[in-house]
Amino acid sequence: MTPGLADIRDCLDGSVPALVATGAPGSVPVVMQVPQVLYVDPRHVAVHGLCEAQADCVRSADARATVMVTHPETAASHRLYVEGMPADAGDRHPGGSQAPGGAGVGIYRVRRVERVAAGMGPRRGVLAAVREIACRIARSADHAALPEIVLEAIDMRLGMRHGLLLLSAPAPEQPRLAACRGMAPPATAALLGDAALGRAMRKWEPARAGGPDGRGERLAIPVVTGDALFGVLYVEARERTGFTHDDEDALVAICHALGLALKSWLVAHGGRSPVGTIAPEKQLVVRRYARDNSIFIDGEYLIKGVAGAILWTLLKQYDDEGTVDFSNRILRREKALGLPGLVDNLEARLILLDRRLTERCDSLRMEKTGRGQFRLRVGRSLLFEEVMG
Amino acid sequence: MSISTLFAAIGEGLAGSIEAGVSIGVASHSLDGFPSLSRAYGCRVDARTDELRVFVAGTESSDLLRDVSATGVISAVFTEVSSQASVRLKGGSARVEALVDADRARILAYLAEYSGVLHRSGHTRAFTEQLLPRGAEGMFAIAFRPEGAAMHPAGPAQGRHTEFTP
Repeated sequence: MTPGLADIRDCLDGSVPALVATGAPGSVPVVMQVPQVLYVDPRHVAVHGLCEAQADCVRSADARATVMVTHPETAASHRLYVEGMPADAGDRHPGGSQAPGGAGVGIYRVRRVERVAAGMGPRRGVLAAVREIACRIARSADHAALPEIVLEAIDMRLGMRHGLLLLSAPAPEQPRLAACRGMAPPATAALLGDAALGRAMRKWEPARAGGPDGRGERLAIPVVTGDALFGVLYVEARERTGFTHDDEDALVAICHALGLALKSWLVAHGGRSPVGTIAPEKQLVVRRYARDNSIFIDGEYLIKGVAGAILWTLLKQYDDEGTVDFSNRILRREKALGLPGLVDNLEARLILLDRRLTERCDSLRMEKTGRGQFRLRVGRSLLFEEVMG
Repeated sequence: MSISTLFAAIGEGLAGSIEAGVSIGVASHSLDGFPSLSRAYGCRVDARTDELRVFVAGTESSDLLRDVSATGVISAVFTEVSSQASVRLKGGSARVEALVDADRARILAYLAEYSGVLHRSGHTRAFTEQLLPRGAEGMFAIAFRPEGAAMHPAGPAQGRHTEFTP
């Protein structure tokens, strides 16, 4: 049976670099290894990190390419026969922007998928593991022990050895570390600043980020039931390249079971939770007027011009990618900022932006982390509004 | 472009990596211009003919072997796993040939070295054993003399690449 794109979704999570050969009639194909080929939908993939020649090729009307992707665990390999999409179609697509650092991104329509090597076959027993863990959660009479039960179960049954569970405490206290396995217990404040965990809490959806030393991956899953966020399950892949879509699906199902168990406790105990719940916070409304890059925060004017464009770029990268660490060197490559040619202009505008944030916005901070480097601190979830013209 | 000219142009470091444990991709195109693509399992500089020989598995590369035989066009990329630094070579008179003894020895050395590189980068032994062939059986050599080279010192889209032509 010919596989479809959805059948090989785990090959398309960016864990293993892919090979891409682009070509057009009459020219020598350009072959490169690219860092990521990501699943967009059942008919499209996003190829990140195209070289200049390939990025040009994607946008031509007769662009064709062959992509070779590999499953991060089983080593199964597939070739995708694809065609480029016109610039306007790619730009409309969620993945049709520029990746951080100016890397080229191409959206391709997949014409055919061909299996090259079968690999070891899919990992067995994920569904059985989810069933077993969900049953243990449902049958547990001791709700205070649930965090330990969940972490032990995903270690033993899913091989996720490094994880923690952050659950909310009664307001106004911060969420607390409820259980930790296979890693030193970190401070809660440090956890809340983590890109994956912070995004999962803000967006109420699974979030991933790269490992701390550039290897492995971090994955955070919110524990949500109805309109309440009970906390976040956080796991790290240290001995492996990353988490598969199956891993994420399994953890989402487990977190649903956990959330339901915590909610049933709430009902049975007159609303007194064993751990409390976190109410959705008020979002920080960031409005940009495109004509002069003026930025308003919660309706109040903050800054405009290049400094406004810089802030907009920082906040969008934070919200889209979970990026918190930035460097002046990378910012200079951002064409959208419209930076003038003089090198010192960027530093001057960053100083102005930092000062203005300190004066007028408690929820946003820029902390210097090194020469030409800084970290963005965002205290509330963001809601973007853009006024064109 | 002679191999010595090529190596002088791309620099000693990157030249050395071509025969080392790097990731290798090889492409050609069909007569109607559609790219064919395959993974390669090693490369050898043939001093006698002053050519490069890259090795592909026949079962994985039928389209590529067909296209190289029909058009002579080849494009190959050599990428260091740790740095993502790449060298891309192209040629217009490539040939598909059977392996010779020196090819088989090079393939075995490559598989051992590349397997170690993948393991050190975080992949399991089971993954590398599944990804890589056990030996040279069923492989073919594609021999070519590079006619152009492009370097990407920090990955495909990072920094500017430099291109050389004969």
